[in-house]
Amino acid sequence: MKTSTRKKHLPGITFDPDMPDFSKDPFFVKKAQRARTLIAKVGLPENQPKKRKK
Amino acid sequence: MNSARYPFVTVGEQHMYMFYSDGPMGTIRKAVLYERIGKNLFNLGFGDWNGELNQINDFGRSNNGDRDKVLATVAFTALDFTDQFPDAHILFEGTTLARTRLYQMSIAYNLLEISTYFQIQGLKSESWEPFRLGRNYKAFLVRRI
Repeated sequence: MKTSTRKKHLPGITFDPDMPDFSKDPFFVKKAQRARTLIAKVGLPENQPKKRKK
Repeated sequence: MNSARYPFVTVGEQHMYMFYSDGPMGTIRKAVLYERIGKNLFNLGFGDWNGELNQINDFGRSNNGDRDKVLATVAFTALDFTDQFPDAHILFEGTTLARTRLYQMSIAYNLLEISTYFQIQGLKSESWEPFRLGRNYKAFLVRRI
């Protein structure tokens, strides 16, 4: 992850330090868990076995 | 990304974005979260912020008549997010099949524009393939070109 070369946000995007922290909201926690399960099952494209050409 | 969209705010360190949808049902606060679920893998989640309950509800039931504008705004947050994390893979799927289908239609409709910024994969029969028109997918994975 290229965090050291992190850029500023795109023009027109406002930074709001008072925005509520919804990152631990049950809705998002559930969605993330579902995503983890999906990736554990199917993997990522680069880890997929190549399909053989017939 | 030239589609009409809403301005949004961010708390960048937590990968969260927020914006307001305006329509017949009033002003609705929308929340977008990129949650890290792997090394370079983030799950994209978005929903409506319920200020009274301080919680997120499922997106898209607000009937505010601005679905395309809302989805364009979410797409723009992906542009901003991947500007900061260029190696990130972003995974997203609908909470229902109908919702996933809606996202698929939106991608298909804007494919030319989206493809200039992102490489899109669709999950079909337990394997990923480059997004193709006319195919039904269960989930989507995008990364910045």
